[in-house]
Amino acid sequence: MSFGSDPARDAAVAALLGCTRAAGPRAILGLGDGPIDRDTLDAALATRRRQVESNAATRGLAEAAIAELEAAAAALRPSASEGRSRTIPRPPSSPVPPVRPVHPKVSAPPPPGPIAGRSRTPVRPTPRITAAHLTPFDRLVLSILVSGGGWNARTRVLVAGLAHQAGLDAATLRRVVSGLASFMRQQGVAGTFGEVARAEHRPAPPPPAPGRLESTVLRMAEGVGREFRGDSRSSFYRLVTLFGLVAVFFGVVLVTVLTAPSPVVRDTNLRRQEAEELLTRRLEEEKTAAVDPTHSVTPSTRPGVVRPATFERPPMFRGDAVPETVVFDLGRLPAAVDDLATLARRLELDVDRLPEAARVQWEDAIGLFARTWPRMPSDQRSQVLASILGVLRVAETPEVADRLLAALAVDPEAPIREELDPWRRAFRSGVLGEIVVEQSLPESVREIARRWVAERLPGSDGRHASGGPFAALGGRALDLMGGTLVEQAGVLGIGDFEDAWERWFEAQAALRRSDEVQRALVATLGRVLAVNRGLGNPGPSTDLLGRLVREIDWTAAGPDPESLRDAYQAWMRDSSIDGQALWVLGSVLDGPAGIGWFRPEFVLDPQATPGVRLRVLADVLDAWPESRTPVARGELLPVEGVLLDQLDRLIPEMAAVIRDAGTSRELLEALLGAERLALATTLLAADRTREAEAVIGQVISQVDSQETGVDIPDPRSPVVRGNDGEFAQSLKEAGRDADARIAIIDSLLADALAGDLGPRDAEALVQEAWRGSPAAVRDVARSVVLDAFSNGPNVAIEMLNTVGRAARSEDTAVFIEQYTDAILPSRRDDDWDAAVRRALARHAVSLLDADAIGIDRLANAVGETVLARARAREGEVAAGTAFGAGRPDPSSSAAAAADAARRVATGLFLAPGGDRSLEDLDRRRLARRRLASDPIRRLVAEHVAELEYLEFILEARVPVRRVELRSAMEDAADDRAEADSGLRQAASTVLRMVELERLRMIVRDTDPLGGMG
Amino acid sequence: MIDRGMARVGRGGLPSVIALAACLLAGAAAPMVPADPPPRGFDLQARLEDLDPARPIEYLELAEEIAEGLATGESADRVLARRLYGLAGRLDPDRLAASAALGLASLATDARTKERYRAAASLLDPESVRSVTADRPEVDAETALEIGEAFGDFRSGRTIGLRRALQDPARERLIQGWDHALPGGIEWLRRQTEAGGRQRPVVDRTDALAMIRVELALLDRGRPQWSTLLALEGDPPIVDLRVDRVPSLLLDDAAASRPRHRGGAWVE
Repeated sequence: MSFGSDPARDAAVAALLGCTRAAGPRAILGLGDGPIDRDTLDAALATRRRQVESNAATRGLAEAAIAELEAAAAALRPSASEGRSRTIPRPPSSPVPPVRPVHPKVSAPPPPGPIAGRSRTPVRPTPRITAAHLTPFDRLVLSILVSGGGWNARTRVLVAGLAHQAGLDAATLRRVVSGLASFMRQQGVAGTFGEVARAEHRPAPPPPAPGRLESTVLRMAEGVGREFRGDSRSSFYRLVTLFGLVAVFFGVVLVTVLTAPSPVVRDTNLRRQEAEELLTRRLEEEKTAAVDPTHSVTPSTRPGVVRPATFERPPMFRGDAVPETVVFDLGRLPAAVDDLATLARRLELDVDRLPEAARVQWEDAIGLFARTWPRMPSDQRSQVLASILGVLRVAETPEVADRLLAALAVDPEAPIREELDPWRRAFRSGVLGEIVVEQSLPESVREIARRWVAERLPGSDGRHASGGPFAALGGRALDLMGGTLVEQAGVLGIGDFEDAWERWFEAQAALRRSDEVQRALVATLGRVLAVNRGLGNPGPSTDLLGRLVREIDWTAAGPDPESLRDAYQAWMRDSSIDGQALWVLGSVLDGPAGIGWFRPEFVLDPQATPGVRLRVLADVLDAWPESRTPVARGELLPVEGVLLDQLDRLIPEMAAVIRDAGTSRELLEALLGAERLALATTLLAADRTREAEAVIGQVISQVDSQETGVDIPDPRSPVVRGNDGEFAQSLKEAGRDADARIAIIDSLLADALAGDLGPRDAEALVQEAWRGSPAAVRDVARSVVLDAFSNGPNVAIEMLNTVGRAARSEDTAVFIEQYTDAILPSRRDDDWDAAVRRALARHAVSLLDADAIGIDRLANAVGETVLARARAREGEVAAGTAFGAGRPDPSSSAAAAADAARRVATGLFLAPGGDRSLEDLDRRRLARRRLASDPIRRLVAEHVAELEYLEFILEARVPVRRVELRSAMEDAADDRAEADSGLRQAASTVLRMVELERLRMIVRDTDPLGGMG
Repeated sequence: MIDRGMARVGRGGLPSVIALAACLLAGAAAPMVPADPPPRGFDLQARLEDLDPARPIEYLELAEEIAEGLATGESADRVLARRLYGLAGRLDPDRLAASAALGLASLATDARTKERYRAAASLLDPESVRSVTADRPEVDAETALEIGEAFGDFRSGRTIGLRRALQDPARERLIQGWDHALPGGIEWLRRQTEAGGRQRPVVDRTDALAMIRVELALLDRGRPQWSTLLALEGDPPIVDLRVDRVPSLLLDDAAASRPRHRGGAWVE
């Protein structure tokens, strides 16, 4: 090729163009052999021009090469066809990327179509991708890439789909995408978007025709959707209505579920309904049956069955409620008590004289107390009695004593005149009883009371009776009044009669235990039978008999069923009790309001001979239900059978655990188990069955798995960092260089396994932690101690040894709190130093002794359990007790539990025939306290006291168990004498408490009708 | 005997020396017997003969006179004093039983027996005994802290604080109360502190734990954690007496039925 006269320049130009002139204009412009249009020609020229300008070494060379290019273009222009008239945007004068050869390959001819159709203007492959090279497919892909944010998973799927449709393989597609990427880089944003805009819209593929079911579902979905969107007002109203109906439906279901009776209740209701229907049928039958006109007195006797006495209504009465004045008077009690205290002080100043005003005041107070006492709370009753005795205590002269006691004069057997007479007379009699036994009163007072009691209330002074002298003599007065009231049937106005009896019943219930009330009712019933004032005829006597029959519990589970049975026997055998009275009694027992087990043939013929009486009696006794509780039931505790079984299993098992425990920790675990069991029985006694059940579950778990449930961390054995002294030496060599010291201290953290240091290194590190200087060194040392060595025993010992060197600052306090997990008092507190030392010492002990934490946590658990028992037992008495806040110490908790038991015992009175007093128990408790020099033995001492108080309580409540109770106490004393450790003594004592409580538990009768079915 | 031997020696001669040596050897070989009690100021036998069950106080008074100045260890006098105390308590339980129990406690040769008798006295008359068990002296917070710091310094090689504490009678008494719990006892601590120097004493972890527990016991001032309590005091059982068994504790029934002393023997 020759471009001019200069061969060297020609060669340079040829080299720049890549070919000589002889190659032809097409080769010079980089065009192929196919037809070209002007646009292609111009584009090729522009491209080659830019290439020359960028690659030419000199300007002159570039001009020469460009001249050749233009000559070649001019040569081809005449033969080039007309192209589209558009302006090829001049590319920006940015560096042209190196030419990359593009070798597009198509494995199969693309199908015709807008997507992969042929380019209208086939483009000769060139080193660069230009807009002219882009096919519609390319533009489409480009648009996808641009809109999809480039080549990513989403655009990849779309493009792959297009490629598949176009019949392009993966390699081809990759080239297309690479080329487009190159184009995008070259053209920039404007050029790219320009080509994207030219992409042809690809019509969406038509959706497949839905099937019939699918179309139906779609229509329905569409319709529901429209409805739920509430597009129209009617759809909105329909929605409201629908949701309203749903809400009402669920509301009805909820109410039904909540109010529906349980199966047991349903069963009970059903049985009650059946019984009522039976009663109604019987009443109807009796009404329609032929009436024997003489049956009310002498019934017609049919073989085997005596016609019972019939009444228009079942014999029964109820008096009116307590007069409202009583309620009003209750509010005056505190003032009256204060008045008596003032009166007592005045009398002290002048013991020989009782002014009339004082006497009136005294009488008014006595009257007030007498007409309100059954409605007083127990503590107020005690205050009232104390105030009365306080006045009498200063009545040293006989004259004053006489005048004061005149207000207490009582004749229990005098006719009742007014409904509150039973209350007044019972109160005065009770106070007389208290006066007789109160040794602090002057003899002048006691002598008068003693004389009156002997005359009008003969019997024991009641000091050993259940309820004490007040209950004993007050009850005795009521019994005497009962006899009087029986005699007054038909004499006293009917209203007064019934109201007086109502007050009588109320006084009995306030004064006595249930079995004593039962005995009083039975005795009164016997009196009614004996007096026989118009029984059989409608009237107060018969109504009284009916009321008494209803009040008495004739079931096998009633209080003192044996006494009732004995009384019935006595009545039937007593020839002085008229047969008619027994006939009425039998009729009432068999009547609609009678008892279930009493059969019609037990109704006694009023004309029956003694032999017939005995025969009927024998039949009755045969049918009499067996008592479910021992004689003199007292206050037995019904408990669910399952729980009783569990207790019966756990008591011997826990005894074995206590016996076999060896180490201190095992003994503490055994003690905890016993305390929990005692808590469970106390909760059962307090009728907190569900809580008791949960606690019993804890004990079962402990016995079965030997796991107490107390969180005790596993013992730690941190690895001691080797080469003891190396760190200390390094630190020493670092001298005063703070940065070096910090680095050396920090390096301790590199050994992730070490949890403790040797003694010398520990000394060095702790020295820095306390007194490191500057502060940065100290802070780093403290951080390392907390992060790496907080469980290191050597470090802990060193911390304790040298804590005195630490500054008394807030930082030090925080550091120690973080290190020991203890809470320190204020730094101004006098106890601060001791508290710090204590915290560090405890932390050191916890690391040096693996058992220490476990023992302390078990002790805490024991304390909490005992305190819970004290609180549960406290619920039995009205007065509350403030228990201290914070973690309870076991011995303090035990003292609280013993105190609670004592308070319960104080509310009781000596069991009949008791040979001990509360004072004796208190004295023994005090003696044991003196034996206890440490918390563990104090715990034992208090537990023994609680056991003794408990036995005292149970003897009063369940006298029939006295023998077993005493035997258990003997065994408990033997256990203590044989025990080799305080903890074992404590555990065995607590287990005896459980045994005592168990003695008064019986299986709960789950029959809702009791023994009447 | 020795005096006589010395006299022979004084008159000289080998036989005398041999005799002296024999005396010395005999004296050395003689069994150790308690020295005779100091002569009483009264005729014991006469006093015993005069005892009358109708005057129980005389039994108590005679027992106190005999018990006064008794040497340690079992002796006939000690046995006699016990019997007299027991008889006093059995003959007049209402007035003399508590005193008799205290008297018997003073004659007890072991701590447990002493505690039982003091417990009996407390049971019979709570006011007669303030505390049955051997009490440790009370410690105030400042002293407890001071001793704790002294222990810590001791473990670090600074013994002067502990040395000063041991030189103070009150503090020494406090530390003495924990002698059984301290490693090597108080005497070892004293020797270490008197050795001087800044050499850290050898205190291994077990010893350190024991000392730290004593510190805690002092710092907790009567309300120690149970781990500390069990480690230091153990877990002894409480002495639990039954009131109905106290008389037999004072004196068994057989001896109590023979309150008179006639012809050198106790008779009914």
